[in-house]
Amino acid sequence: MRRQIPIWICGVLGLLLVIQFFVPHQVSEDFLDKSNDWFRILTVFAFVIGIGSLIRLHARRISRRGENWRYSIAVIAGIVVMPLVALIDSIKASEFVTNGMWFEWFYFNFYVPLDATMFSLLAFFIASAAYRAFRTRTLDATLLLLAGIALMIGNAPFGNIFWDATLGKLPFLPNGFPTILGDWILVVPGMAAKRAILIGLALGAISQSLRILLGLDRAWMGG
Amino acid sequence: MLDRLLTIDRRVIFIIVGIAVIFPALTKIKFPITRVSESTQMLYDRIDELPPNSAIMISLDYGPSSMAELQPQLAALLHHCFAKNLRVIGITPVYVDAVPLGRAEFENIAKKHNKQNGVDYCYLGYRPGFLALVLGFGKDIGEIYQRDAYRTLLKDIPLMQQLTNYDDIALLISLASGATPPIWVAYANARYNQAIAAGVTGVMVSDFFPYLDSGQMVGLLPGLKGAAEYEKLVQAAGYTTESGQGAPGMSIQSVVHIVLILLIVFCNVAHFITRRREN
Repeated sequence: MRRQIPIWICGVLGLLLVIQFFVPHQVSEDFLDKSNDWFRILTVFAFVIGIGSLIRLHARRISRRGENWRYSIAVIAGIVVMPLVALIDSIKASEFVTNGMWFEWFYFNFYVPLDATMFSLLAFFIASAAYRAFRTRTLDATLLLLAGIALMIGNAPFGNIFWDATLGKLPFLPNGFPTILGDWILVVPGMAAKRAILIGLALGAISQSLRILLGLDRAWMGG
Repeated sequence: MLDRLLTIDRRVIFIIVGIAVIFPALTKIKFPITRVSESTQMLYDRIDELPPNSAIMISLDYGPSSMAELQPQLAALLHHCFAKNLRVIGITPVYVDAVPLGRAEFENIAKKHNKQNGVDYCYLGYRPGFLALVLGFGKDIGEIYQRDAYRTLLKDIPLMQQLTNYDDIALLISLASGATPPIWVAYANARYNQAIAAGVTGVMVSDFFPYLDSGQMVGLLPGLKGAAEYEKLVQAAGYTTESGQGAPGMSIQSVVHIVLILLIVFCNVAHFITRRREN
């Protein structure tokens, strides 16, 4: 019964929402509004469960001195400090504020640089990977290499500047050719491949959704 | 010797890339934008054609990790909108951690154009339940947001008293580091006929050309390049004299790309010579 009820709720509501999309009647619109309200309420509960699970997981790792437990201290500190400074700001302002001085200071001086740094590290790893992977071993690899270089030249302004000062001066060659070539790669062969991927993804999503709605796939309930 | 160069320690490459980033940033080397992409021009033209007082909604679907590419896009768009006397509504429906980022940029650019919060622009901030929000805007924005990001009730904000749902929004722009633009297209555009445009990070721009080609999107800013191109258009039209972060970023990117191309060419020459010797 513990498994049957969620499967029925998921299946019935899911199919009703699919039908609702195609029915422009007031009853159908009201049903969508109610579903949206429920969806937002459930999302808030998901936050509570998520934060609770995160704290429990890292607290357990710290108490057991598990692998990399020192990083868990940083996670718990982050979870505690940011709401704490927001609380201090709110107490100072005598009302609930989300743009207080302390909160913004911590946000712009800790959170933003740390988050941006994590993403920026990608550039270094991509450079290292490009050095190793972009080699003309096969025809496919050579095509990938040429397309990659064409896009790198086309995307950065130096490509056009260099071209316009040299080959672009010839009357039968267009100005800004690197950008034209880069855009062509993205818009013609790139988009053709992307469309095929999108159509495949959409068909896959429809079949997977049907499997979940009909109760054939129960992995979302934890296996 | 060549074998050793082919299996060079990755930390050496990290140092080379690091120098390629720091050197142009310190020396302020400039590579001006000489050509504007068609997708950027489409978005610019679309906004430029709007009559004054039209409402534009900008959804900040990114966090601090992607701000290097998307924050300059936001700044350039805001300069354009405020200079054209368009009313702008900012929302952050996906990433709660983006709220202060957007709020600071809105305040900063609005101040430069003497625009007033609540009258010329409004920053609504975050609400949980992205899909419910996208669908809910089709009926009543006030049902999703009762207060803005400054905790002011929506009914007390003059701008929001004039806006009910998508019917009152001339254009919705999703600045995204993830897969949110297709959701705006699938629900806001397909269901409510809302015009959608997007500004995305460079790495994911190819994902969105099919939507642009089909007319489901009316414009697309491709990463930092899009931001720099938009800055160029806005400056050329005289909407702002301020140089944004996009063009300097693209100059740095130019140097990094040159270094990367040289590294790849060097590695391939070494690879080719080694292979010939082995044969």
